[in-house]
This record gives sequence, C-alpha cells and structure tokens, in this order.
Amino acid sequence: MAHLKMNTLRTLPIALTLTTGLFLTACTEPRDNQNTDSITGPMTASTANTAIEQAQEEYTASQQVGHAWSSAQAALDAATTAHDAGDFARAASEADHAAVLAEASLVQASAEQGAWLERFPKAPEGKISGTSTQDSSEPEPE
Amino acid sequence: MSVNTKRGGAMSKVLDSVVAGLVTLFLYGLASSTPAYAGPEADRQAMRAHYEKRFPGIPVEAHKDGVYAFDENAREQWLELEDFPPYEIAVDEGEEFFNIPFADGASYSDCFSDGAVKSQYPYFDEDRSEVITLELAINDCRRQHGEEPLPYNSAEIVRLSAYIAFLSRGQIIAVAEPSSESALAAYNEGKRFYASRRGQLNFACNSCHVQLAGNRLRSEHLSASLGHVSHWPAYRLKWQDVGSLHRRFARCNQQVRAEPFAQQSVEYRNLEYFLTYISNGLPLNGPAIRK
Repeated sequence: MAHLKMNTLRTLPIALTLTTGLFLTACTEPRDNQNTDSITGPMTASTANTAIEQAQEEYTASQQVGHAWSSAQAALDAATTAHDAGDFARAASEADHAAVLAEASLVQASAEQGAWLERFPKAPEGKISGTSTQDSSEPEPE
Repeated sequence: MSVNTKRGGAMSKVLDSVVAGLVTLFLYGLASSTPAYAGPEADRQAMRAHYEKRFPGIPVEAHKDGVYAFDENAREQWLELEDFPPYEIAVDEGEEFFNIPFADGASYSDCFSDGAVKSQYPYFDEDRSEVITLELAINDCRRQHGEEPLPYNSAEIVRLSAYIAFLSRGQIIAVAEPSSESALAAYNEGKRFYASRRGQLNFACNSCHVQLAGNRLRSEHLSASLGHVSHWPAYRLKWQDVGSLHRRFARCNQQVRAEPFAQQSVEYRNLEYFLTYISNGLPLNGPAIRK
C-alpha cells in the first residue's frame, strides 16, 4: 500500500507536466492548421470579394444547366450580406460554402444527363404498337 | 522510291486509323447523345399500367382527385370543403374580369368564345415552335387587343384561368400526340425535367409521384402524376388563395432546395405539356381544393 502511494507521488508531477503541456499545445495550435484557412489570417475586403466572385461564377454555371440550388443562392446572399457588413472572414466562409454547393449541383446536372431516362415505368409488353395506341374508349386527341 | 512508298503506306495506315477513330467517335457520340426515348403514347400507356399496378382497384381516372383517390379520411374532409368551396370567390372574380371589355371594345370572348376552352391547352404551336398554355393564350389575347400582358403571378390571370377551368369542367384531356420534331423535343424536355433529380435534396418529380406514389411523406400521402394537371388552378389551404399549376411546380422545386423557374418559363411549359399528355383521357375538374 505504501509502495503504491510512493509510486503515485513519483509519477504525479510527470503526469501533470504532460497534461499541462498537451493542453497548452492544443490552445496554442496555430489557427491556420485547423482547416479554416479562408476564415483566418489577414482577411480583406478584396479577398472576400474574390471568393464571392468565384462562388458566383460556379452558381451561374449551375443556373445555365438548369440545376441551380437555392441553398447555394442562400449561402451567396449570406456572403454578400457579411461582406457589406464588413465581416470579411464570414463573407469568405459563406462564399466557400456556396461554391461547394454550386459545384455539387454541377456534378448532379452531369450525372442526371443519362440517368433520368431509366426512372420511367416501361411500357407493358405487347400493349404498345407503333405510336398511336390510345384506348378506344377514350376520345381521340384534337 | 521504295522508302517513299513505304512512307506513303505508313501514312495511309495512320490516316485510315484516324478516320476509323473519328467515325467510331462520331457514332459513339451519336448513340450517347440520343437517348432511346419511348414515344409519348408508350409513356402514357406505361404510366397508366404503373398506377393500375400500384393502386389496384382504383380506376386510373380517379387520380384526377389526387390523394383523395386513395386517402379516405382526406377525401371526406375535402368533400366537406366542397360544400362551400373556397375557390368560388376567385371564379366569380374571374367571370367579372372575363367580361370587362378591352379598350378596343373587344373582350376575352373574342379569343375564347364562351370560355369553356381549357381542354384545348396546352398545345404545341408549330409556327412559334413553343408550347402554348392557357395563361400564355390569355396574354396573347390581351396583346392582340392592345392591352398590357398580365404578370403570370397576378391575381387577375389566376382568377381568369380559374373561371375558364370552371366552365371547362368535365371536358376530357386530349392533347394531340406530339408528332413533329420540335413538338417531340418539347415533350421530351418536359419528360426529362420530370425525371431529373435536382436541388440539394436530390429529388426528381417522379421520385415522389411515380416511384413513391401512395406512400407518406411525413403526414401527407404522395399523389400520382396522372391527374396532376387536371384540377388547376387550385385553392391551396397552405396559400389561403387560388394559385396556378406553375406556382405549384415552383414550390415543389423549392421544397427540394432547387432554384425554381419563372411561371410560364419554357421549362415549366414543357413540363406541363408532358404531364398533360400523359393525363390524356382524364376529365378536367378545376378549380379544386388542395392542402
């Protein structure tokens, strides 16, 4: 029992030193290593503006193929609002988010080019012959 | 000389390979850029067969009432509402608008005779090479008589179309089968729109209304595609007003976080064209009440 206490007393300072060291390291970890490059550092109006322009470009491309996402537009709006309010870090962060969403919508548009056709029910076999097989019970189209 | 001949032979082989490659690429491109579309009538038959199988015992024509075709509780509540229909005021106002003469002395009846013309729309106008909907025709009529066109989200155009829909009740949807190349292209664009996943939630119209029709999305049943166009404009309890089919399209797009298109945009008109064609044979029953 006394032996155990002695061991604990010997290791306690080492454990405390290690814990304090790790804690301080975590606290002093540079922010630019936290995968938030765009919202740290000397963010200026022009940097944020560039991010917004890039996001807008992606969004316009998604509009042109008819697959724009409203969430991308909302993020772009938030970026512009933050920029106007002088919060350039937030503006850049929102613009990055908008760009990611717009890129995803472009991927969707590309993937859908061929995929959509497989989603329709197939005509029952033997029921369709040629292109004009309307039910006789129904009126002819005008 | 022999060296030149050999060189010439080698060049010829290279050229042959290049030509063969180009032809292969061209054919591949042709094949991949021209999807194998089923014809409109095949689509319509396939849709009918799908819903007959999906909802056994429910006649396809019953889908003109949307979810009320198979949700008994909702149907009872809807029929109660029909005793004093909330769209009635809109129909009355539409009648007033219909009869107000234009500045040149003409009126809507010069374009739409007695007004019971809903079953004539939409159609593909070969001269203009576009789909003409009732709302588009209303504005065409106004322009012909020197009036300003109405905004497509205006109360006036919605009420006018509600009145025309009311007069046209019971007419059978009978859109002519798209036969020209441009009409087929418009139809296929509408069809593509209907089946393409869009928005951040990655849903297509037919995800809910073909593949999942009859299932519940939260507390609501999902209706069948057939009959989606038969009852518009409709009074939506959510809107507390009568609204157009294209307003509903836009709302559906917004719900999956897709950027909606403008009412009467080419995209929505082509979509209406496709949906109306596959609903051929169903009766018109607008204006209706929907949640």
